[in-house]
Amino acid sequence: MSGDKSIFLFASTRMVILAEKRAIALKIPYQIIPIPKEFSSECGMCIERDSSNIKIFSSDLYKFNIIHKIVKEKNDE
Amino acid sequence: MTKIIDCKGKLCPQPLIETKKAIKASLPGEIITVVVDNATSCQNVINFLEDNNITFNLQQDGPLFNLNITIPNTFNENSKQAEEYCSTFQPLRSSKQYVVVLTSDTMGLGNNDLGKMLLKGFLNTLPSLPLLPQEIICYNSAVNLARNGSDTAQSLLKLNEQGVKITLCGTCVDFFGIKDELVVGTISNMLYITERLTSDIIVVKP
Repeated sequence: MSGDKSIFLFASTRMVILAEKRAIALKIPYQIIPIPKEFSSECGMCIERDSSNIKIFSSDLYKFNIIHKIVKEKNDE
Repeated sequence: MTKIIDCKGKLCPQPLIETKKAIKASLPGEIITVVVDNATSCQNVINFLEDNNITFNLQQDGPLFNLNITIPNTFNENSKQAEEYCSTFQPLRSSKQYVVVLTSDTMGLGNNDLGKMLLKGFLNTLPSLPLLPQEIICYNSAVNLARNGSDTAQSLLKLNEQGVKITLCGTCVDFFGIKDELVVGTISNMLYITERLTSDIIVVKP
C-alpha cells in the first residue's frame, strides 16, 4: 500500500481479529501491523489501510459492534 | 557531550567521508553519533566501521539511523576508499546474518486467530527493520503466506525486492495445491532447506 494511510485502532486484540475478518469479507486491502509508537507505547496490533473509502469499512465495523478509532499517519512515499 | 554528525539528506559517500573525518578529529574513547536517513548509507558506514574494527551501536528512530561510534585508541584506516563502500542498493546486514524460518501460518502455539495475526504483524514489520534477514524459508502451512491476495504476500514481495530471498518448500506448495497462486518465492527442496538450517547461519523462528 502506498500514499496516505489510515490506522484503525481497537480496544482489544479480539476486536482486531474481528475487524480483519470484516476486511477479508469486504475484500478491502489491509495490513496488520504493530500499533505505531506515536499512538501507543503498549504492545498491540492495528489495521493499516490506504485512506480511500475508509468510511465504508468504518461503518461496516460499527454494524458489527467493532468499536474503533481512526487515526492518520503521514504519507510514507 | 556526544558529538553529532548530521548526515540527513546526504547521499553516499558523503556520510562515510564525514564519519571518517569525525573519527580522525575525535579523541580515543569519545562517542560520536552519526545520523543518516537512508538505509543504504547507514549500511555503508556500518561496513566501514566493521572493516576497521570500530565499536558502534545502531539505533533506529523512525526514519533515522543513529550510529553511536566509540572512537578507538588507534585508527589505522584500511586502504579502501569511501566510494568503494558505496553500493547503489543492498539490504542492511551486520556481521550476524540470519535466516527467518516460518513453519506455519501462525506465530506461536495457542489461539489460531491470534497466532495468524501475530505472524502478519511480524512479516509486515520486517521490511522496516534496519537489519534484514538474508532469506525467509517457508514450509508446511507457511507457504500459504506467499499466496496471491494475502497481505503477507505483499510484505514478502517487498522483502524480496529489498534483496531478501524467499524460499518455499516444494512439497508443501504441492500439498496445498497453490503453485499457480504464488506471487513470490523460489520453490526449493528439502535438501536445500536442510543444508540452510544446518549451516552456521543464525536461524530465527518467530
